[in-house]
Amino acid sequence: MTEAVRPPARKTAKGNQLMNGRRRAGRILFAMSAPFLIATLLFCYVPMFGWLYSFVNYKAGFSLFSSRWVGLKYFAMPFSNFVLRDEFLRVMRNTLITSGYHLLGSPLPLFFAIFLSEIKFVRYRKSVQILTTVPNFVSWVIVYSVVHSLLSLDGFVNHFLQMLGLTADPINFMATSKGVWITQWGYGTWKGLGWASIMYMSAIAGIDQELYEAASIDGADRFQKMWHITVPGLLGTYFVLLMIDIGHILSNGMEQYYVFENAMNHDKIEVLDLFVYNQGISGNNISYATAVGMFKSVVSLGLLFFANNLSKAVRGDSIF
Amino acid sequence: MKRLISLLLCLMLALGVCSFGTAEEAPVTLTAFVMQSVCTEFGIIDDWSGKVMLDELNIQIEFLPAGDNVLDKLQSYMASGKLPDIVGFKEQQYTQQAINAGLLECLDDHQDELPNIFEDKGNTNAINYWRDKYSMKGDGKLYALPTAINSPSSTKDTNWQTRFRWNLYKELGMPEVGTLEDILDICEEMVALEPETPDGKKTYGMGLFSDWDTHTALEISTLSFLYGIDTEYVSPLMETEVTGQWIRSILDDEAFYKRALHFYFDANQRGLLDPDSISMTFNDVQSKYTNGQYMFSWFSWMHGNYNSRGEGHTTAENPDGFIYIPVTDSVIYDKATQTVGRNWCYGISAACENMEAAMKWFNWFYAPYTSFILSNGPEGVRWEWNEDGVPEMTEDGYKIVRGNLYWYFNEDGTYTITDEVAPGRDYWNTKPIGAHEDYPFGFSYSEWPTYDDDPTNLTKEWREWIGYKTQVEYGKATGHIKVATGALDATVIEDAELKDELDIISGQVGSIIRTNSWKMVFAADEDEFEALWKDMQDKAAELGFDKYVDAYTEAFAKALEEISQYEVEY
Amino acid sequence: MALKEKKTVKDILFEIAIYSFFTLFTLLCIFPFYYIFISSISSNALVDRGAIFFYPRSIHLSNYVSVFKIKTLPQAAFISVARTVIGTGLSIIAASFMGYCMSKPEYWHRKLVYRFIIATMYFNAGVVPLYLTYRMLGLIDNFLVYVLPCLNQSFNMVLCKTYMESIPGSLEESAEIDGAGYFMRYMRIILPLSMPILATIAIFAAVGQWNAFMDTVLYMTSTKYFTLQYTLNLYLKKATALADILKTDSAAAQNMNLDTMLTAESTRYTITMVTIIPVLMIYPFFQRYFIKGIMIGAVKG
Repeated sequence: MTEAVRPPARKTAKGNQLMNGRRRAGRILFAMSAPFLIATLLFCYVPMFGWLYSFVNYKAGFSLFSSRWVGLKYFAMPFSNFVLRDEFLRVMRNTLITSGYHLLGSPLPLFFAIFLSEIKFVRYRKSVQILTTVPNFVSWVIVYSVVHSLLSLDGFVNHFLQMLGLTADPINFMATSKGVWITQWGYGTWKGLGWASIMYMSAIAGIDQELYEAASIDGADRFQKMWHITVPGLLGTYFVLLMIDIGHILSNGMEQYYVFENAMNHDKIEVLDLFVYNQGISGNNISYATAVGMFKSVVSLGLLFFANNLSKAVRGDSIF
Repeated sequence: MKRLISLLLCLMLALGVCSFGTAEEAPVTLTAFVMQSVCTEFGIIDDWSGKVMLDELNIQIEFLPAGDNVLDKLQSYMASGKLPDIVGFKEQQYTQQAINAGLLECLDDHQDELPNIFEDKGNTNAINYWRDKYSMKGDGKLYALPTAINSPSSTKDTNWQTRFRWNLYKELGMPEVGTLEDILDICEEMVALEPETPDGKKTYGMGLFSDWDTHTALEISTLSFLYGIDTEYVSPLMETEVTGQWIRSILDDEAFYKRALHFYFDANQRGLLDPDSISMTFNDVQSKYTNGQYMFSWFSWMHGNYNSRGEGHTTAENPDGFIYIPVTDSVIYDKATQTVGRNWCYGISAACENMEAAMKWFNWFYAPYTSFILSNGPEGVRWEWNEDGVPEMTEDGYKIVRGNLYWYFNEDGTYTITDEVAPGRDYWNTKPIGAHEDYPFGFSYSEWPTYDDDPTNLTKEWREWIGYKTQVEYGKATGHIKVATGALDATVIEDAELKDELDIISGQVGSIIRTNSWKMVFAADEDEFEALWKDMQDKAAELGFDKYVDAYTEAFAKALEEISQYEVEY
Repeated sequence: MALKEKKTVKDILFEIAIYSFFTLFTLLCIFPFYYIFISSISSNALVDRGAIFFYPRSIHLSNYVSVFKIKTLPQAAFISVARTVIGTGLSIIAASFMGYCMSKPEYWHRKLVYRFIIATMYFNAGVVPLYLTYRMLGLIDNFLVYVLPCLNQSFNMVLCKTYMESIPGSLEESAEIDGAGYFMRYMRIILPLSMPILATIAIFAAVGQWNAFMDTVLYMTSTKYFTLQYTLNLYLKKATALADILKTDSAAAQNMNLDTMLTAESTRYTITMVTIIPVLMIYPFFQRYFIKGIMIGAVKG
């Protein structure tokens, strides 16, 4: 430490020492975490050299440097003519709406966990918690075959409706463009709700029980306690997860939309990940596929950065 | 000397002697990555083919699983500069890429180790073709060999054929089916005869599924094969007259594809198309065929289990089942004799550490005898030679084939028959050689003159009615089959960059065609149907589809011109 | 709870509402599971026809028998368990320690390092570069490829950090004054108080490891490292192989025996059961950590 940057003189010598101690402690902590940072570097940053593939005409088996430079060709692809541009805009619309629904539904696991923790019958609560995570483990292919046998034209639901005389002609639930977004959101929520609530269950368990006791003594009823203790206790977790989800706006995953896609709902269900698959980009053309992945990563990080600053401006607290 | 030994080896193999090899030495292990196997098996091959290789060559093969993400794996291997010892390629562009990158061993450098390949006249066309088309940057050398060399046209059933429910067809008085559109009339009458299955499910003329769609609505475009038009081998987006008279885009105003779309559009308008078609998968459709909910099928194998003996339809007193009924104006595609093999191939990795063993294996693998036993198993289990030198099914053989059973060797050399799926059927599902003059009776047991096919009542009635033993026999005699030109399989876009560009176009255009096609089938009326067709054409044009059409038209013309050079009798 | 409150009408209505909601939702969640179960024990022929829906028919166990007859199953199960245990352990260590570090304001360039880790959540380098990197690190066909990448935890690390920040700092301060170093404080104070979040991460990591599939596909060639998921999937592929061959090369049908064209539904259902059940069985073990609330006062006092 040189003379010039010595802290202002009003600090006591002891405070100064403490400062230096803190700084040293911070470095020690950094050193202790180094193995994990090296792992991150090796497993996540080193492979990023692959991003270079998106600027050349890369073919596996040849070296990167012998490949021809194509510049931004693959990035410009969606804008090369109006059909593609329209398709791309449509796909982006679907992606954003699908993610929008997901973000709107993001408080659900939080409330799911709060209400579940209100149940005093322990066995019941434990069973519900386990059983509601089951859908998370069932592949979309199987979900589709169950849904299809329920909702197809000669499926159970149509038989039931006809039996009750509610409808004369069977309804084709599977092949319609009506309500695609909300239905898909429903399937996704059904599959993920129980699983996502686990995080909040643990956060609830982490809330200091003394707070509840103090509130009880002050005469708060259960709803007041839920609202004034549990919800604020979970908000930290909620906002962090929300930020992460905002960063994932372009990544809806593909499998769900792939199994449910058909010509009738295609225009609405085709999200970016599915579009990439449908266009046959993945796998065959490494350069093109890399460009898509890179585009997604950059946009994601941008969104995360934006949301973080927004949070700083609005809530006065940034998360990352 | 080496050559003499190899020849001797070859001779002994042909005689079926299994005791060659130096058993004292530890066996050599080679790794194999065979993309086309769709393979679920992995590890050291330990079924009968493994035993044969160990006994004859003292080589064992470690099979690398190839089922999932096979392209990703291939690209990873290629990027790392080292392929497994034996590689089977499925896509021509990767074959070429691997050759150009120097990842495959030049087979011409090992001519003396590969007498079965280079000294067999049956391979000459294939070798010439592969030297010309798949050399390293045009050096004219051989780096890989195709599969199914000389594989012949169909002998019993063509893959595509018009099949109907036999008992209903009889009930209708066996009317003549004039053309494609008449099929709907037949279906309508059949549905009227049997509006419900015995367990109360509604019947339809047909049902479609979409989970196999790639560039087009596959189940729709595939009807073209009933009229001698290819929509698969040259390109799924091109219609190619199978003898090479013309080629055009699938979106041409004259295109058969439009007729096929209209066929299903009509079927839907008349209530003959299962309205669930749009959301069904292959499995769903198979279930409905098994249930007897459909009347018409256009693949010789697409009827679920309806025809299987276990269901009892085909063996009943008054038999039923899906069977070929000729459509007067249909001329069904049949593949050409593939003198140059198909574009799937095998090669040996340049990074192989035991080249001698690899070549020894490769030489064995490309012997006609090997393809014969890979199809039928070693002599003495399913088959044996009779006095006339013709293979004959053994009693156990019939038991295995008819019962859909499997078998494996025991430790002591005896064998056991089992109904559990035993390994061994998946490893080499594409045989190197498709036919050979030393085996005039054919590689597949069902072709042997000695084979008793034990016809079901359905087959017996049908044979009596049609007057021929098989559909192919009928088709060839009456002109209902058209044998394709070999150029269909030999159409290659040689320029790798152009190929990439065309792949991008076909991905983009295909995505639009797929969606619009299904919408056309379920369109409300003719106007909507036409509007969707027009929309599809316009969008494709904007996406640069003309370039695609031109490139494939040119490539096919070139293939057509050159193919005769590779269809020479040696 | 110390005070027993009197139940109001509002309370009772609320109870009815949540009980009925959770009961209904749970039923909705287990229906597919039930469906998979009855399909896996019903006659395969009936399943293939889509005739099984609400109750099993012609019950048999041969699907399970065939699965358990797979020769390599014990070895695969061993690998799966090993990677799950080791991978989960490493994940917990990495996530909790990095989370702890990131909750310390004095950490050297904390913000930068935090962002350095967070960003990896959105990275996607592609299959080939990852393969080349792993090859360079000697991880191809090496058991470590299953578990070493667990050392990089971003999402779980964020969960840990958020949780640990809610632990009152006074607890650590008193220990610091007593001369306990970071590691000691992390082990003795933070970890015991973080059991609920550690249990959560354990579940996430364990399920991730148990169900992981792509790493075997892409990086393993030796049979001895194949996991249960992968082995079962290969078995499923065997059931669908015929359809797959027809799909890629329909003309190949001419050389095949197509007399019984079994669809693979029953196999798929059986395999799903075999993989879900172990997961459901480990739950209760972790559950106790987040059912019971923490009494920070008790720790403090």
